[in-house]
Amino acid sequence: MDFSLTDGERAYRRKVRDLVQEVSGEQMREYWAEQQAVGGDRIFPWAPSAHKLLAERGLVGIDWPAPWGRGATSSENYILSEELVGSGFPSSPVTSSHANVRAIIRNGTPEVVEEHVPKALSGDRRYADGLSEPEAGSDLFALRTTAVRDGDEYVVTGSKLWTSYAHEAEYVSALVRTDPESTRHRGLSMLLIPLDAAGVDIQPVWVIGGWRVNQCFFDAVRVPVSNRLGPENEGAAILSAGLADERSLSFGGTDSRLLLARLLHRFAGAADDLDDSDLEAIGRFATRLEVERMLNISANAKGARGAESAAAAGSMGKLYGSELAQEFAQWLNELLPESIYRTEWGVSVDDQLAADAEWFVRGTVTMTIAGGTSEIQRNTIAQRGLGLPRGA
Amino acid sequence: MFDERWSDETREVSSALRSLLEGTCDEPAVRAAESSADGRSREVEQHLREFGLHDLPAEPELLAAVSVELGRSLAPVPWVELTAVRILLDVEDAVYALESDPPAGPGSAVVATASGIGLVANQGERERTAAGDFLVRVDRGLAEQRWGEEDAQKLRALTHMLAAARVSGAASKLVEIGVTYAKERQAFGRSIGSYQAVAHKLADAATAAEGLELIVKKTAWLAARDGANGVPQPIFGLMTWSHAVEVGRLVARNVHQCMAGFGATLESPAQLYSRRLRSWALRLGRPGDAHREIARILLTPQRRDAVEGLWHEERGVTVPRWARELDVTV
Repeated sequence: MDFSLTDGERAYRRKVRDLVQEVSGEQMREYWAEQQAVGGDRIFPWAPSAHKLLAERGLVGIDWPAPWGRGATSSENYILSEELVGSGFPSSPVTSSHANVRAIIRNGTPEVVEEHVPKALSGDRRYADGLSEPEAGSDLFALRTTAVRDGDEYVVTGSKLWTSYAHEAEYVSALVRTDPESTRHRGLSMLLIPLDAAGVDIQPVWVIGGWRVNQCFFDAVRVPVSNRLGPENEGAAILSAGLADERSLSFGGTDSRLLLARLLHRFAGAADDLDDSDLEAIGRFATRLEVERMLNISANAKGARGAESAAAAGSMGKLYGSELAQEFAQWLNELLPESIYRTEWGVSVDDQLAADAEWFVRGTVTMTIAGGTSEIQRNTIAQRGLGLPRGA
Repeated sequence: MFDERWSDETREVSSALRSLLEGTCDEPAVRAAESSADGRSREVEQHLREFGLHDLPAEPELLAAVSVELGRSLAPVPWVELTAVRILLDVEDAVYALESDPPAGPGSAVVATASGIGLVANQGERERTAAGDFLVRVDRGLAEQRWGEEDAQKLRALTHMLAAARVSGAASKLVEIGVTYAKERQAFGRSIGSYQAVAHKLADAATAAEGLELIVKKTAWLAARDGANGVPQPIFGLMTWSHAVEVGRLVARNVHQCMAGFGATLESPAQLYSRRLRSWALRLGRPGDAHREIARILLTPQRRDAVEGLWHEERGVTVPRWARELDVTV
């Protein structure tokens, strides 16, 4: 049993913390302005210049194999995510969506790797996830987007929904059906589709938190066969490996800890100003946020060992953290009631914490949905963790 | 690299203890103890004594893991209540009773006094509890103070962790009972575990039980670090215990619902667990009180900054520079 960091991990964390401490209040507001300008969100935040800064400091792609990254351990990867998200640094693609680049390194041809990875490392190339479709959300393998082989190209037809960042990215990494006779997880392939290709239409979809996701339409889009990752019809395995990489990421817990820490500092030395119910809530949330972190650490450790229980453990962390974040957000809004007035994209000149509480209550609506709904997580726990039979 | 598993040495002891308890403290043995005049099982006590349970080294991880196993088997022995007293106060045969009455059997009880803690004879009117044991209405006024508030705090923190570990073991076992039932029980032509309404309740119960075990482990791990002297920090004691109360109740509620009428019968093993989980929850103070104390620690800068290992922090609770600059204070 060991929850400590190695000396190397500690030094690495210090490096991330030092970077974060450079960010002044004014700088953070500039990042937020950048995010807002690109239709980004505060719940999975990203700002181009922040991404560049991370790239300059060697903090992009740390877990990618050499020579691109340095093959960081899963613990280090967890620490990077925790330190960046936990400090509010706008880094979402670095901590989550870079699974796309991992997939390229693992499954792309040498030419594709050479073409993509250096640009991703420098922050000059970004990727959107192309998984869900209008008729295929939780039931992902019901997807209908097809890629029909025509010589050295595929002709892609269909659409992808919830493609966050697609309007700012250069590629969408899309799961498509390459075997028209197949069903479910068989006959799927992963394709890198250039978003400036003829026949691609990106339409904005605005969501409750005030940010933009997208629907991408593909009308006979021609994609080189060389843009396929891995063997034809083996896309489901690539997807599965990518999801395994991300299973210990916190969905809402880390953000909640930052907000609670800020609240504790606001009321430092002023416990008597809070009533008993608020004190109880603070103690209870502080405890459950510790539990949430431990569930994610456990998933991380199990994943690193290749334990069979890792999938269920990841679902436990995701389920627990996202539902806890919603509950915490509601309570925080009650405690800071003025936050209900902060509807201008979460920026306030007089009470930033209240403004953040307001965006958090809206933003957490998606946390129990994105990355697999709570219902899907419960199914995974029940079937893969507890061995209960699948439903009819 | 993180590792959430008990150490090899601890697993060896846990495994041996589980084997012993499966053979000596099975369901009939628990029911027999419940039906006895004092709720105890002399046979189980003897087996555990021979196992060396009362002479274990004061290693937090080992003690927590043992407590988990005792909870899994509902061992009718006051080991949790005896152990912290033996280790921290160096008193044999005395049980912890700071917040509620002591379990019957041991010769004396540690109770709160005006400004510390003291010993009192474990004698008085005995009442059977929902957990099948007996608690003794001791005369707390007869206790003379022998230890100060600092000792009381340590005693409380270690007992909190051990009691939470016991709940963790019982809750995990109850989830297993519910899962086994859900796999076997058929309704509308298939096993009820294939219905999401049932499966999701068990998934929630399993998640809660897993989370409890992990916070117990974290608490024990922190207590074993240099300078902690094998005693959990008060805030972690409060967190593990208050969380154990909530988890025990949630697991009991969900598993009973999944097992429906059968789980509520006295024939079912489920009620043996749920009664204890709910009874134990009443013995170390109300979780709301613990939560308020946790909040007061975290809201008092000096106390907050002395906390080690909360969340991702080395010490205290920090906020990034940008937030310090943008946030207002009261």
